[in-house]
Parts: sequence; structure tokens; C-alpha cells
Amino acid sequence: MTRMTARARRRSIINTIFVTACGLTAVIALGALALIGWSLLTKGIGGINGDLFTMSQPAPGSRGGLLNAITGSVILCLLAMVFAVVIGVLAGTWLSEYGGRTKLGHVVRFLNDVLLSAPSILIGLFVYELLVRNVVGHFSALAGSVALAILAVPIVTRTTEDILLLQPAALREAGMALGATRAFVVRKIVWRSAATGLLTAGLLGFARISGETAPLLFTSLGNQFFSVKLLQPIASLPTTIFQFALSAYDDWQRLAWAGALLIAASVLAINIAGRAIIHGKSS
Amino acid sequence: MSLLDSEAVETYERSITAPPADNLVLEARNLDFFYGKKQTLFGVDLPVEKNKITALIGPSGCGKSTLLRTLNRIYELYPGQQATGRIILDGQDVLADKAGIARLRARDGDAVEVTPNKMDLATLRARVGMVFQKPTPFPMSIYDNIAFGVRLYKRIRGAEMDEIVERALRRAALWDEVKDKLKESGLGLSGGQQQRLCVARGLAIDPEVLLLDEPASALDPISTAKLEDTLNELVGNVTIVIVTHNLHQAARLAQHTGFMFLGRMIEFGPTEEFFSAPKLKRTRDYVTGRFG
Repeated sequence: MTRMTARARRRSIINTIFVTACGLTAVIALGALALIGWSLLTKGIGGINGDLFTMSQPAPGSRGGLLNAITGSVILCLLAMVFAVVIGVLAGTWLSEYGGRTKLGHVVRFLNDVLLSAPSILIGLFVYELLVRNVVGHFSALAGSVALAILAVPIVTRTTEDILLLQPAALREAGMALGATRAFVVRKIVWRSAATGLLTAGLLGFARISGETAPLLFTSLGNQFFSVKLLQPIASLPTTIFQFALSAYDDWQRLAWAGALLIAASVLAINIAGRAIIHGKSS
Repeated sequence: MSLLDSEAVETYERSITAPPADNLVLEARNLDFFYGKKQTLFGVDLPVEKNKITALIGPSGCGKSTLLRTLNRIYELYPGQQATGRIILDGQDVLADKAGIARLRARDGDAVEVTPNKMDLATLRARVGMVFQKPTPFPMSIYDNIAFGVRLYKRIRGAEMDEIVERALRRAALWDEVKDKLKESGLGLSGGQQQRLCVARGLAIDPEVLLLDEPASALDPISTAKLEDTLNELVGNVTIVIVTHNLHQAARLAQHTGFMFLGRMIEFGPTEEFFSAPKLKRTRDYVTGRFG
């Protein structure tokens, strides 16, 4: 016969409380996500049709889609990710393989972490001062992608460093023991061994910038027409959503919801694709 | 590690029975090693006979691996690690670069006579290969694992490379197991196969000396036996220095055995005598299992 002692009973109660608290908070977090997803889906799905992908934004009350904004977002994000991955992966590699333990390394890592949590609107203002008012002289797609890149770089850098540090030291030693140089070992062995992690770094960076609005308002501005010119203002989904959602027109608001759904769906799709690639590689 | 603190340092009795000097391919003389300020090797001597197997044994932390890692200067990957002394490979001192000679002079005085030698690390490591405790296959195909090192030194492709890869895999006794899946990832092999792949990778660039740092400690008994067979096959063609925790393995494989203790080479001699009639009490205690 088992009889619970007072102590065991107390432990059991505390255990129940703890598990319940964990479960409840998980439900709250996921519930919020589900609500957002649900409202996005119900309000956005009505705006998803052929016109959305084939026509540029309309005047209120006429037929149209988001082709200009979608194109603009793709260009902005792709260009930003090219900058961010090149700079971030190289910087992360330097931190992990070369200077990470030096004084400069600690400073770089600290500043990178600061940048990681910098308000995106500040980044937008910075690029506005740098490119919009000075170098280029007006709003441009280039300035927008630079602003987005600055937001993504710290994430790519940090993740790259973390991932590379996970690679066993013996792997580097084995490469060096064959007589290869450090740089060669990093490129041919360490990066390859960390390939899926580096992909994750890129995905995290992309996820961060895909919905950014504030830095684009000062840089790429937005464009009601279709444009692919890098030195001209360019439309983007977040800025168009911002503009349309604040408008008084029902059809614009419907397009804003559809655009929001589009962003969420593409981030989801890219993440799933990334995971599938990672899974496929590791098995 | 506290045993290595300077207060614990005393002079130990030593007994070094070196093979004939003409047969030596590699020799460490009076070698000190430092991790930062902490000294972990104290005046170590290690004579290595050509085309024979030399085993290093001793309790954990005695400096076996450190000694091995000085022989191809792989320790230089980490700032703060330093070796002072002589390591002579075929008559050339591999530590005799400017900094190395300066450290030697600082220790032994100005009378030191060393021919300066700007040994290129890549060349040194091509001549002195290394296999690590855990298998370290590169994330690429079995074929490319072997070809990787070769490509560092020679522009070879096609049939000629195929031949080198096959020869290396045969020498490591792995060919029959992998010949049908050379294009598959080296990561898919078993632990024992991976370790023999690493041996083959080292052999592919025709080193004079192959260093093995506890190569069987992560392997099961059958894989270990296969690896030992492989090493036995290599006697006569390659010089091998192997660090091992397993006394039986040393006795089975090696022609010469060195016993290290607290960063010193305490006893070194032909394996048979070493195990049957150790000269020092400390060695006897260790090989009979009284401590360690």
C-alpha cells in the first residue's frame, strides 16, 4: 500500500501547478498566433485572385492587383539578402575562425548584438541620410535594399558564428594536418560541413526583413507604378499595405489584407522549404 | 593538471634506449611545451625509428597527445601554445624558424647551434600526417576525402587520381568495403571505416611519418582489430607514431614504446623488453596496472 507523505503531496501539487502554467502560456502564445493567422486567412483570402499577381495597384474603385508591390518586394529582399549573406557570412566566419577571441573580436560581437536589436526606423533614417539625401540624392530601391540588408546582417553574422563554432575543432585540425591553409579549410571543409546552418542563417535574416515597413518608408518610398529600376523609388508589399490599410477605400483595404496574407504565406513557405532542404541533406 | 604545477616538478629517473641513430627518421630532443604560461612537456626525448611503429603510453594528461601535436606543429593553430626544443625530421629541425631558435637560445644560452630552417608548414604536414582520436571524415564523398589532400599538392585528375585513391584505400584496407560507393558521402561509413578512411587520406599524400592520436578509442573491438591490421600492414613502408591508452594495443603493434609521466618521457625502449622487463619501477607499476 502506498501512502503519500506530506512532502510527496506537496511536490505533486507544485508539479501540477508548474505543468499547468507551462501549458497555459504555450496556449496563450500559440493562440495569439492562431488568431492572427485566422484573421489574415479569412480577410485576405478574398483578395487572392489572378489580378493580384498580374496587375499593378489600382486607383480606388477600379480593377487592379499588387504586381508592382510584389515585384518590388522580391527585388528589395533578394538584393538585401545578397548584401546581407555576403557580409554576414564573412563577418561571422571572421568572428568564429579568426578574430573572435581578440579585443577587436569582442567589440565587433558586442556592436553586432547592439545592431541586432536596433529599431528598424533608425536604420531607415540612417540610410536616408546616407544614400537618399547624399549619394543617390533621391528615394531608390537600392537605398531600400541597403536598409533591409543592415537589418539582416547582424542576424546572419550571429547565426553564422554560432553555427561555425559548433563544427568540431578536429575537423579543422584534420584539414590543416594535410597541409591546407586555414582559409582553404574554412572554405572547403568548415563551410561545407555547416552548409545547412548557413542556410538557416540566411532564412532567419530573410524572415526578419520580409515584413519590414519603417525603414522602407524613408528609403525606397513606394511607387504606385510598376518599376524594376534600382535607382528609382520602388513599390513594396509592406509600404503598399501600410498605405492601403490606412485608406478609407474598401477595395484598397481588401488588397492590403491580401498582401499581408501573401507575405505571411511566403515567409512560411520559404521556412518550410528551408527545413525540407536541411532535412533532406541531413538524412 | 595540478600535478603539473611547478611545485610538483622534480627530476625523475629516466631510461631511454634509442634505436640506432642511423635508423631514425624523426627525433624530438629536450622538448618543452607550454600552454600559455603552463608548461606541460619537460625536456622530452623521443627517437622514432624509420618504417616502424612507435607507441606512446602513459596516464591521462601526461603529455602524450601534446608531444604528438608538436611533431607536425598542429598546435600552432592555437595562439599561446609554444614548443621549445629540437624536432629533427631527416636532419632538418622543424622548430628552427626565427622564433623557435630565439626561444631555444633563451633557454639553453647562446652556444646553441641550430641551422635555421624555414620549414613551410604545408610541406611539414605533407611529410608528417595525422589521424585524430575521433574520425574526421570531411563532408564530401569518399573519393573526394582522399583526393582532397592530393589536390593540395598536385594537379591531378581522371585516371591518375583514381589510381592514387584506390592505392590509398587499399593500403588502409578499406578498398573492398567502399569500392562500389566511392561517390557516396564519407559521413555514411561506420566509425571504424571512417577512421580507416582518415588513415587512407593521410597515406594518399605519401607521408614519411603518420601520427595517430588514440585512433581506436572511439571504435568497437572488431573495428579496432581491423585498424590494427591496417597499421601492421604498413610497417616497413611508413613510420608510425601512435598514442594509445591501451597497453595491449601498444604491445601488439609497436616495435618501440615510450612511457610518459607528468610531461616527461620516463622510459623508452624496444617494446618486448619494455613490457617484459621495464627498467624503472614507475613503468613497471604502470604496465602491471598498479597505477594509472
